[in-house]
Amino acid sequence: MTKHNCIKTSFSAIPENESLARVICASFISVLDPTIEQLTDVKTAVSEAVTNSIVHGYSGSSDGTVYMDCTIDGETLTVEVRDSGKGIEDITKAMEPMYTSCPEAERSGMGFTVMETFMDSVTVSSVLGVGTKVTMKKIIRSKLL
Amino acid sequence: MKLNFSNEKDFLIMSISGEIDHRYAIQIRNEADRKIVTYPDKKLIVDLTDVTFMDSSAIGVIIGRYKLVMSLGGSIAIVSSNDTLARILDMSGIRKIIPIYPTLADAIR
Repeated sequence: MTKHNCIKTSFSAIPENESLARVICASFISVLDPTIEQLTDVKTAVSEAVTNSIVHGYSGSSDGTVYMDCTIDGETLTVEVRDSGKGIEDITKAMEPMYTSCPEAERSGMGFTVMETFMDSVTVSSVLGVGTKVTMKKIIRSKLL
Repeated sequence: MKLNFSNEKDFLIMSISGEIDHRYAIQIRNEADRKIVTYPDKKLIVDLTDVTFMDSSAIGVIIGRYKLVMSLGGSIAIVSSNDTLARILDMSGIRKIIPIYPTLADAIR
């Protein structure tokens, strides 16, 4: 069983890379032999975090870069999604269910709620004008055990 | 993602297959709204039977279509029996406002 492994990725902040990020992370955790539900949970949380960086961090501008680092330590997966975008003014408000800064774009305002529901822990740090970092952890116990 | 529209009885059926994320939600919204506004009976069925993945962007686009058809005096239903989608549909609370049927036949009945 893998004790420690990590990957560091960076990609353009464009919607086409949302699915790429999901596939990268899903492939990375395959060594942990996750259940379908665990795999879907991680893919969904990654999708939310990367979409937030693209839609909110960079406001849809394709010039930015999204960074996604994934680490496995024993059974614990850590996914860190960072951007160098505009940052979040009020993290507490941003994490409220149904809150969205883009109601006209039909964002559901559920991104952070999904991350918190599907992962074991989510922490967010952000500096206005500097960027945002979302760190998510989930314990992946093998379905074979 | 593939999007297909069909009619059965007086329902407009929007069948989606593949993955729905932010990228495809925009496409679904634009194509759906073009169809809805020209369809005489604003009775929309969103068939998610062949959807393999969706995130909260899909919830946003479904709720957006719900608001549109309701404002036009219509109705909306979802078809999904997929366990993979059940968690996000459940946590979104969408079941409280939109009926979800296991099959298309059930939704049309």
